[in-house]
Amino acid sequence: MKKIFSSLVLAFAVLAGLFSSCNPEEIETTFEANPATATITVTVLEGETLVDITSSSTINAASNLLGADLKVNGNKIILTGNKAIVAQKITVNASATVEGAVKSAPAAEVSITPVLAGGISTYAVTMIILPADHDYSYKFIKSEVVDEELGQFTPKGTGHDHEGQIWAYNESEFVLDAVVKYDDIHGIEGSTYSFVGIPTLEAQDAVKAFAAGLGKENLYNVPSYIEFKVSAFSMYTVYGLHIWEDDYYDVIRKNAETSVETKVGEIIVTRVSTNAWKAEKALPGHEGHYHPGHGHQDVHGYSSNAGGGIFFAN
Amino acid sequence: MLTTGLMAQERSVGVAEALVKSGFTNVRAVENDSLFVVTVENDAYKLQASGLAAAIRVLEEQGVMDGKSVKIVATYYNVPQVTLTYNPAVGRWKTSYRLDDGWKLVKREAKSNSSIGNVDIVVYPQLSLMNLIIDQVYQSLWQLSPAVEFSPWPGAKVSAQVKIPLFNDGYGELEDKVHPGLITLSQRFRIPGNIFGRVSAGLFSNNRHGVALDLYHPFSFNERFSIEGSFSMLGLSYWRGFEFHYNVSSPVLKPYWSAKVNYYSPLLGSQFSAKVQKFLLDDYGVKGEMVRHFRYCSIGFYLEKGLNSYARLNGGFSFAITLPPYRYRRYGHAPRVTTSFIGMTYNANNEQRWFKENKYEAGDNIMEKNGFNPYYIDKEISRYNINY
Repeated sequence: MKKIFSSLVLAFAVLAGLFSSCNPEEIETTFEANPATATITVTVLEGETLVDITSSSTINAASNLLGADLKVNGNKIILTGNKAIVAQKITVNASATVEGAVKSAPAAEVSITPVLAGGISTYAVTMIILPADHDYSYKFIKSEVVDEELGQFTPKGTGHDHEGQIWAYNESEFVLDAVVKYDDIHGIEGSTYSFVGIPTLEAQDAVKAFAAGLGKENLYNVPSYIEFKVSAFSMYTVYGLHIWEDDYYDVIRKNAETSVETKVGEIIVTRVSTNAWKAEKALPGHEGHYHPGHGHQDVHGYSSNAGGGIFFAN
Repeated sequence: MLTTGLMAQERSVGVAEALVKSGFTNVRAVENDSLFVVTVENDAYKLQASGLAAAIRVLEEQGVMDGKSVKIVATYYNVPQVTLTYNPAVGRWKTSYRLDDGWKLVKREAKSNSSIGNVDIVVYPQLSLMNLIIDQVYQSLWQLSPAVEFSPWPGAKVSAQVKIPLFNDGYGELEDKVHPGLITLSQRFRIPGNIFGRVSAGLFSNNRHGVALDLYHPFSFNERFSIEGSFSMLGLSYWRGFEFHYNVSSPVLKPYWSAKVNYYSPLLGSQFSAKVQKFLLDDYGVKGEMVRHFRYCSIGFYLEKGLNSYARLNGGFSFAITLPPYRYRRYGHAPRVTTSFIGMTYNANNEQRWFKENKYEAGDNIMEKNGFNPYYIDKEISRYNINY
């Protein structure tokens, strides 16, 4: 009995010492990346007063969707990719009942930049509902990217420098769940305008009014989170890209009698959008272990090796 | 000459004492008019066949083989495994999985030198290699993996292993740290019909934990044929040093099962197996294996194929080598430090995702079950120059 007791004490002391802490986690061995999403937040102004009438407006969008589904939820147009979203243009339409009549805003066009599977991008656009008998209108011409700013997240703990960029490591065979906070900045920063020719005072007022409305500062700057999974034996990082674009509009005067349109001014609206995505690649020296999760490519058991195979200890 | 009851009892006591003195545990001995039966559990020899040969020599020295049939029932963690029968008419020993009248006669006798509470510190040296990068032949991981092992009650085994890295090239940060290995509580049992079983619970290989049931049945009509089955519910976990991380997302445990058919060829000293399995990634696979058993090592070759489109044909070889010392002593109640085996499995197709099998005890290897193979024992004990 003494032998049994002393042996048990020794053995269980060893067992107790082996557990210094227990940590529950969500561990999986395979995953599919979430579909990419792009969200356009639409602001609608009444043409005479430039009052925000978004809540009482009807918004819809049209495009030749390329590999994505489109849904309108209130004043948000949401694209969900069939995994990734390719570059494409979305035409936004808005209408509202003003003074008892349904009136529409000139269509706006938003250029969606490519978004990888699991990535998130956000945009904003302002539209002005015009009175039916208004002599002046505006027309979207084009967008141009004028600036970009790329940021990278800082891993908690030890980051690893590879080719000038900081990566976090997942050295286990498990898929890890990760959440990274980033600054989601999107909206209208402002506008500039110019006259074409020597327009009348009335035309000048129209140009200024449209510029004030379309370029009304309306910036969203909210801390947001991108949730993603990390493949086994990988290194990963998160990028946040802010894109500044200039949207060009022409202000036109329509002759009620002849229906001839005359360009009286130009407006440039500066708009910012944000695109956040996760990137990962094989851990150095573990290229054979690394298999990207479903959604990036098919997963096969075989991967290239240098010819010598693997010995597992038994 | 008939033996009186008192003389039989004295002789059986003397034989039991001699067996205990030779290092055997869980010793019982009993004699009647026609039969002399002992039970022994090998605690002094690394190889089961070596231990049984030593037990036979003790019986010879004690003069037991005097025209009476003699039986040795070999146990393992107090569970009877095989019966060795000496037939004086033939003058040979014959081993079988069957338990017969000898076991019925001896099992109620008092045991001497119980193995309960004996503690071993078993060192498992481990070497892993991988050829995954072009500019280096092999990256390697060298580990010493000692385990504390003991039996708290009949049939049970507790094993708690620690992995100590000696050299780590390319196996990642987690293997750089000293961390626990397999930690298991197993219960062995035997039920009528020649069915051997083991239930295990704890932390297994390949970062799995859970419970497992293994069953083994050699056929009575021909013990060369046998079937095996395994069923387990496994979850995912890993160690970061001594921090234990375990999965809580659904499903927390997933089933794994396998079914295997074996044939042992005494002529070739080899076992041929065909196995079908369902793995944790919900994939199915078939595996063919051949293992050649030598005295101190076993070498096997295998081919496996997944039944889904992802898992390609894979194959390789495996080996297990019994490490010295091959004979050892136990000194009182002090834990005994010894080695077990070293083994590896070569994976030619670099397969790391599919076909993941599991070990449920640190000592599991391709040699172990063959230790009580009746045909193997008969061949081995004949090589120990035993005078029948």
